Amino acid sequence: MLNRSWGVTLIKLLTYLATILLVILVFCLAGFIVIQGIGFLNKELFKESVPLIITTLMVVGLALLIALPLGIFSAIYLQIYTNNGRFVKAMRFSIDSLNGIPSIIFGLFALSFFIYYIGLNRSILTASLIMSIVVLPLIIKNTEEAIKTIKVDQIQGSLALGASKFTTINRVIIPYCIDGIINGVILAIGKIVGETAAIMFVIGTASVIPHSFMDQGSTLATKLYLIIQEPTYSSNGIGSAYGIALILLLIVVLLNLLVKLVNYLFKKRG
Amino acid sequence: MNNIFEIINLNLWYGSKQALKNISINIDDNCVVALIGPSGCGKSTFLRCLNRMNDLIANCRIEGSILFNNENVNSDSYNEIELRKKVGMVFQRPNPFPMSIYENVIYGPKCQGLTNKKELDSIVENSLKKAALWDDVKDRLHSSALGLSGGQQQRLCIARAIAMEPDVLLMDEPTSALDPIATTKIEELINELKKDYTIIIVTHSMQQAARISDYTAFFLMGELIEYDKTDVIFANPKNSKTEDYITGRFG
Amino acid sequence: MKKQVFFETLYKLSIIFASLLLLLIIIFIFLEGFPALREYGFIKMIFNGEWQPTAKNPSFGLLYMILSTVVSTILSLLISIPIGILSSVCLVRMVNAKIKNIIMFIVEILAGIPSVIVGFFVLKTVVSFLYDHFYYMVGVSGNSMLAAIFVLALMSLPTIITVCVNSLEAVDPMYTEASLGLGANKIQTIYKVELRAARSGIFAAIVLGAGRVIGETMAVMLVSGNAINLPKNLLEPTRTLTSNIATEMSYASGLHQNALYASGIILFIMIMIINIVLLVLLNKGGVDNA
Repeated sequence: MLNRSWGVTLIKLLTYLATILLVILVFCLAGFIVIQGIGFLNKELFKESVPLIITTLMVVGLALLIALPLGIFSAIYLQIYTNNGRFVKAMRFSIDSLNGIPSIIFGLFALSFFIYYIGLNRSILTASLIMSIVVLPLIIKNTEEAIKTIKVDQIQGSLALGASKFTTINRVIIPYCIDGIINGVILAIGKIVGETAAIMFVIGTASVIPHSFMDQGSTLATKLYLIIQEPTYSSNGIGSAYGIALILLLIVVLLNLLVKLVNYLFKKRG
Repeated sequence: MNNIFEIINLNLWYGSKQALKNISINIDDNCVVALIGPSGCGKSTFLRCLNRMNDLIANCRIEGSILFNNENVNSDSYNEIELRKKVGMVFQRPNPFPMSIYENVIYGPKCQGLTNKKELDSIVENSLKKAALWDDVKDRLHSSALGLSGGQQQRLCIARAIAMEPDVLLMDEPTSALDPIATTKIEELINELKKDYTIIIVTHSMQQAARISDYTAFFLMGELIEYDKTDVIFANPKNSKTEDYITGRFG
Repeated sequence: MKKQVFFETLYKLSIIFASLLLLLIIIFIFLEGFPALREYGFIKMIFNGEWQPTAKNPSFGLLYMILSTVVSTILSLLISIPIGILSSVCLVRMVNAKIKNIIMFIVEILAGIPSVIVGFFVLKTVVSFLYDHFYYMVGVSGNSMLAAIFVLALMSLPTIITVCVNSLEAVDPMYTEASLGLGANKIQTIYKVELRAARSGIFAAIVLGAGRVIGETMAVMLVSGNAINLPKNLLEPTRTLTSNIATEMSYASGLHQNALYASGIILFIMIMIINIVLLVLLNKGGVDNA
């Protein structure tokens, strides 16, 4: 069939159609959020979303504070200090598997470990702790990728000059990996901002500006979910939902643009 | 003997760089023509003009006529797919598809719409026999082609090209990735094949050209310096540049 | 020297800690789920359809929810795989680099949109549409298996596309050359040779997509309705394993809660099965892979 011209035309048509369908779907989705949400970008939404944004930032901040060093150090060890032994393969497998765990399972784990076993309260702190575990594989993978792109020669070169592994790492590798690490950070931020299932059991439902990490709170995503389920949860009703959804969409687009920007800047630097 | 290829004033540019300069050459059928010359002289580029494989390269501009059986293949109305059915190609690195040996050989015919199993089976047997591979693989036609050795893979690629029943076989350094024994087998094969096909072969090895070809063309920096019977080129070249290359003064 | 030893140990401890997390999670999920498994029985949980966790004699049969998860996964993949593969072919082989980059950016945006929002979108569009047009049918409220399938297809598309595009771009150009040299046209080359050469990557894309879909909670929860019985048709509401956990966790206690953890274990096992299937498929096609 593919050798007949009508067959070729048919396949070509289907191929283009699929792509057009894809683009249309995304535009409908984004367009829906924008069109519906733009009407609700008002003072009430602003008042309502400030505590949400602050809470979200707190979770992002603390989760990254934990996951970044942990992730970078792990990546350094995996790439520089070991050869591919069975040990490394097992560790890699463990970290890769972490990536594939559904977020609801993380939510269940957070509840049973942090709340029941350790005895923490429902709080922003607990949410940050579970999110740091969720994004850890992301940080490790991106840092590893960044380290890999450094030519082996440069590492060899530095070592041959008599520098120790440690100095090599600090002087040669890390500076060149910054863009990969930043990439991982941006992706992690995106993931944390949009997460609901993993933290909804452990963050509580308060909607005021939190005073400390021990307070309960709602992130943009968790509040959005609550409002959709129960529109009376917000003074604006379902309108807030559209507004918050729009805010989240803008954050996603901004983060994606940031990734492009970082890549561009670092390409220029070489 | 008639001209299967008549090339008139062929010029080729990659962007602004001219890779082929005014090449004119007539190639007889049922013989082996070797294209020799130092790296970058344009011999592979020239070869790829003959089956319009250079179409795949962006920024590639061609001027001049390539007459295949008296039709200009460079004209807009000529279908390059039809051309490639009659002018087959074997590449430097053996590149059998990640499929079975059988599926590799019938790939071309199947793309033309052939589905009759009996016909396909006989094509497979004939092509593999002509490529001197049948005895090696007749018991494992449906095993993966990637399980063959480098030399066998290259013969499979030749069988695959032959299955299309082309008039011409273009070979771009077909033995440079193979060990000496495999190379010898392929050279013997070429000797057999020239009874039925015209073979144009690019080679880096002058010894190979001297061994297997009837005619040799010497390229240098995009120009065709000399084209003559192989004996003449190697024993009595008319151009001093040819002589320099043959005697190893450069290259 | 001491500084180096310190940092080296620090790095080592980090990686060991990171790799133990998986174990920690498995252990704690299992610890909480075990009481229900012991009380009610693992086999019974899988094959029994009675989910009555708050009854006097509670039963924790997950059959219908497992089936719902499986069916919604398969049907949504039947949508997203063709669209994903075809789009990838188009992006890699049929449009220029500029258009490809623009569309890939759009795909990345889709990938980053939180699942709550995708669910919200489908809730307000597809679900309303279905309700408006099929309200007269008994049991139809718009929230349905169909809506769930739609939302899951949307969520798995970016994963499938990114991996397929990478796999297609990694195909050795020598295969393309060989195919064209034999007189095949571009479409034949793409579909008979290049997709074949990219086969293992495409399988990986499908498995990753399936994993994403099986574990999806929020989006599905918003649009699939809440019925526990097996729907007779796609327009009826249903409940997947994930939305079951999320919905009932807020008020579950005691053995009920343990049962929800147990269903988490089953979800885990399902995902592992898919990954093992991928490994087997990859090894089977191993000889054929360049």
